[in-house]
Amino acid sequence: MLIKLTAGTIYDPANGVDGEVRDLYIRDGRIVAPPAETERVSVEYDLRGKVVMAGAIDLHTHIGGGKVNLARGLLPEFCRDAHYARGELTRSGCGLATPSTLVTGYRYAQMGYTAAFEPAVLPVNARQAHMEMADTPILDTGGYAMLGNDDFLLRLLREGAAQPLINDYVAWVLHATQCLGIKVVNPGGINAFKFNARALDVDEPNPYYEVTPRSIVNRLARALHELGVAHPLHVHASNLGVPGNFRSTLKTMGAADGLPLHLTHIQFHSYGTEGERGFSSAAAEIAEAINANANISADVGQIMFGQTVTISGDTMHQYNNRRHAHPRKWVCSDIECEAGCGVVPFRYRDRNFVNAMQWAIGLEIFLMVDDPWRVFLTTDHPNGAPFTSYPHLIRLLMDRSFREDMLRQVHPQAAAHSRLSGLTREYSLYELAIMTRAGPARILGLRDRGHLAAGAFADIAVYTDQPDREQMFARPAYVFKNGELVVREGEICALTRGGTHAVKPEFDRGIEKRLRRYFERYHTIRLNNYRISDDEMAEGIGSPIIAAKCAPRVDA
Amino acid sequence: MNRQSTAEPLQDIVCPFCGLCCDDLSVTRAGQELVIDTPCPRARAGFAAPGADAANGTDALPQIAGTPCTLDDAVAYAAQLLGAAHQPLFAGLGTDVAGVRALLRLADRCGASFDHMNSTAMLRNLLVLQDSGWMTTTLGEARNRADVLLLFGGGVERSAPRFYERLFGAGETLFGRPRRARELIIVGEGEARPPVEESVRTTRLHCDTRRLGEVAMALRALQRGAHLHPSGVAGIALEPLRAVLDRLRSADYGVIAWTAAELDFPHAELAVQAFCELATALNETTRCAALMPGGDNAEHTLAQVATWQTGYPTRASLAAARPDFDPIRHDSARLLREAEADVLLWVSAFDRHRTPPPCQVPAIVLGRHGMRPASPPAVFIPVGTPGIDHPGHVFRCDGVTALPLRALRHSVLPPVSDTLQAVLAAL
Ligand code: SF4
Ligand SMILES: [Zn+2]
Repeated sequence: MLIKLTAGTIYDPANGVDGEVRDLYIRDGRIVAPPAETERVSVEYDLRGKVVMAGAIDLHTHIGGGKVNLARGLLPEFCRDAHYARGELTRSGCGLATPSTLVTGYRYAQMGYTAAFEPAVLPVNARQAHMEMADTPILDTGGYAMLGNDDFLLRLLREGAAQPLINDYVAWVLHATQCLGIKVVNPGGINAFKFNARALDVDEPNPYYEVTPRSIVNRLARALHELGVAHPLHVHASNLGVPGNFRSTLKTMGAADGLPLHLTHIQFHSYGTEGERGFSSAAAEIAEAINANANISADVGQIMFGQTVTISGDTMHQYNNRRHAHPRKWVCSDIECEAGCGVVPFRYRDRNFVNAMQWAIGLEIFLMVDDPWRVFLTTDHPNGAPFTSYPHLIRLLMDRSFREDMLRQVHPQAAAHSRLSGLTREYSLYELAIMTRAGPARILGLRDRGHLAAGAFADIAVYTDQPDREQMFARPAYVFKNGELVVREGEICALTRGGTHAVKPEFDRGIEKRLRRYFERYHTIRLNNYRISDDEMAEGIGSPIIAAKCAPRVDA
Repeated sequence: MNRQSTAEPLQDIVCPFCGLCCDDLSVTRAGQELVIDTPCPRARAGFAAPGADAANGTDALPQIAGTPCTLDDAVAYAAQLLGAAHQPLFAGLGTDVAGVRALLRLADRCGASFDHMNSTAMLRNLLVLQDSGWMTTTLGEARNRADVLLLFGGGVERSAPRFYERLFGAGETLFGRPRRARELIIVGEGEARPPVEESVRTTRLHCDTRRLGEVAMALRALQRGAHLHPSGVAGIALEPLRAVLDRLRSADYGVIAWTAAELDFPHAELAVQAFCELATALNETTRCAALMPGGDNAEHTLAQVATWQTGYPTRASLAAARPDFDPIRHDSARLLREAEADVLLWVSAFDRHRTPPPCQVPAIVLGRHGMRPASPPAVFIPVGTPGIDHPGHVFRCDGVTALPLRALRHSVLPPVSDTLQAVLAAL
């Protein structure tokens, strides 16, 4: 079957296409070169006046796994307040900030997203994370396995293990958990909290292992680089939310020694201590560092005003944040000698100085980082705001006068302290397509997603061009997933199942012997029951593997 | 798999019969018979139940009103009953992840409410999560880190038979020898001596199970600096209470544990709340966390999957085309008693003794092979057991991991998931 998308205005930055009117052809789920005149077109969509982009990709969104489900369990009132009725095709569901999985899939697709990645997969919890994502329809998904607080790695580092052994362990974890990347959260700090430490700075040794966050970041970043994993180490840096933490963020960037490093929800790590309230924006310092270091990328973790829930592996800081819980209840958990999780509901208020500053800091970073290929549009769903606020965020970035209107509504001191009113930049559609499509695909190593050249999967979002960018991006005219029309005028019209992106680096299987011994001695689960096979992903879990290319880097 | 016992036992087999989900079993097979290597009585009973293969499968036939029939006929009649119902009730719900997925899809389609057979016990913990949250730990973390374990209730082994073994059993811990001997403090009824290693010092404080919450509140009051009468609470004098608190305060990593099933008295969630508050409060100066072992008939599996698909763990209704949670209104016993449900779908794939409650409405029963319901239900479909007759997944009680279950023998018994998908297709 040949599908023709006629005369849309195409924004395809991976192929340098900036607003050109062209036809696209789809066959067997992929984009194909214009066929011979004689070939019959089965279905044609008239896209004159419409904006055409690849399906959007969210590279950091908490959509699956134990901590997300804990947030649902903690907050039944969020379900009462926001529920979705069953439709002809769709299932019922609910949830204000952490919607049920089916609703998550529908709502993402309804905004033109075709892939989303859970960034904090606890290895022992990977099966659950993949199950939840398998129950998230339409989207392709994937995860980053959390390392850097697990006792196995910290023991290796304390022993002074050579880099190849670390690489083998990292590779083994990627295989066992069926993940696409590795994330480290508060390197060594979650572990330190189990030894009753309440803070840990970048060059401070873990109280038991005497390993510093700097060395953890460095060794993991090196491992991924040498293994040839496309996505750089995904780092939730030390000192989340702590005033003055921009210094530890800069130090964390330095820990990479020039190797690729991705700093996540960097807004939460860009705080200074200036002013009478001891809380200020260090967005300029952070943006400058990103601009000056081509090895660094970041997603923002923009906050939006309103009720949400924060969920993080960072028990050390979530425990500290419990005082701000709204409503007043929270969860912290130490988990299986691997890491932990903390769930704290939170309401960001525009009339609160700190919250208003956080809002401004996120936008400042978006506007001050020059290269849209190295900054990504996220709210760290649901930590800064639910992902459903993306269209609003897009308008804030693309429409300066709207941004100024919003700025006038926040805490006046915060507005006065922010540089936001001096930032005139407005994102173009081309830049937005980089930040939400081409960029994420490139940094995740997804070669046939995020662009519209022949050979790419036909994940396509078509928007009706409107001056109100929030309206425009909230309700695409059409969304295609693997060539199938799944959304029409913002409504789900067909359901598809996605797959799981994973990476399978080569490694020396000899490490398994050591791991097996470790599991039998200390763990409460056997290695054979811990790792997940491709067959299990396809059948019991229900999301078949899409393996990303990966070749060891010899120059290392 | 032939009828001789296979020479090599299967290793690392997961037991789905309680929330501990031990995965270190070895299983020897002789035809349909399975022999396991653990003395755990619950596991032995679970693995011993009869199977059905092509050779002896005749008693595995479904029945309509007590008369044997084909699976297709049973499925068609079940679909007819559900299709005609105004208020279907799905209860029992002892099944694996795939079974729950199929149940919820069907429940959404026909506007059913759902309620696990153990909801009353489950909610003792879950209501506290909903009300105040908690600080918890997991089996592996407790096994390696806990230098003090305070157990509320003397009967943990009834719900989690290998609990002591798995926490204190032979084997090193990650951090080698703790600073002091590990210590186990049991507050509750019963005199049974837990089978734990010599190196674990055990203290017992006797108290009525119904008063465990008061003991926790007293410890919390002491922790806050309050003065208590020297006679103490619940029959435990002040001095031993102080000693318990001091021990928790000086612990590197204390763990406070209980099994919800044992707290079988009204408003037991208040006791759970007190345990959680104590664990949380101790974190002001050291580390301490709660652990909730136990659970059976895969109650955690329903709670997890239902929470991610509908937002609610159990006792919810999809009747109004959207999820609604109400632990009182959607209690299956009440719905049957008040005749608010007009058809019952009962699922118990792990335990053939958990038969459907007596009821006036037509019942569709998916029961573990060998189940003998008190009276013949409208539809009875003998189903396979996950982890024995077919593969599957179950969740462990600490919520961190879903364990993979393998098929251990050939079986003609259909899984719950396939059966319910067929019902959905026939609706
Ligand atoms: S303790 Fe529970 S999981 Fe372990 S073997 Fe016994 S019944 Fe099975
Ligand atoms: Zn995050």
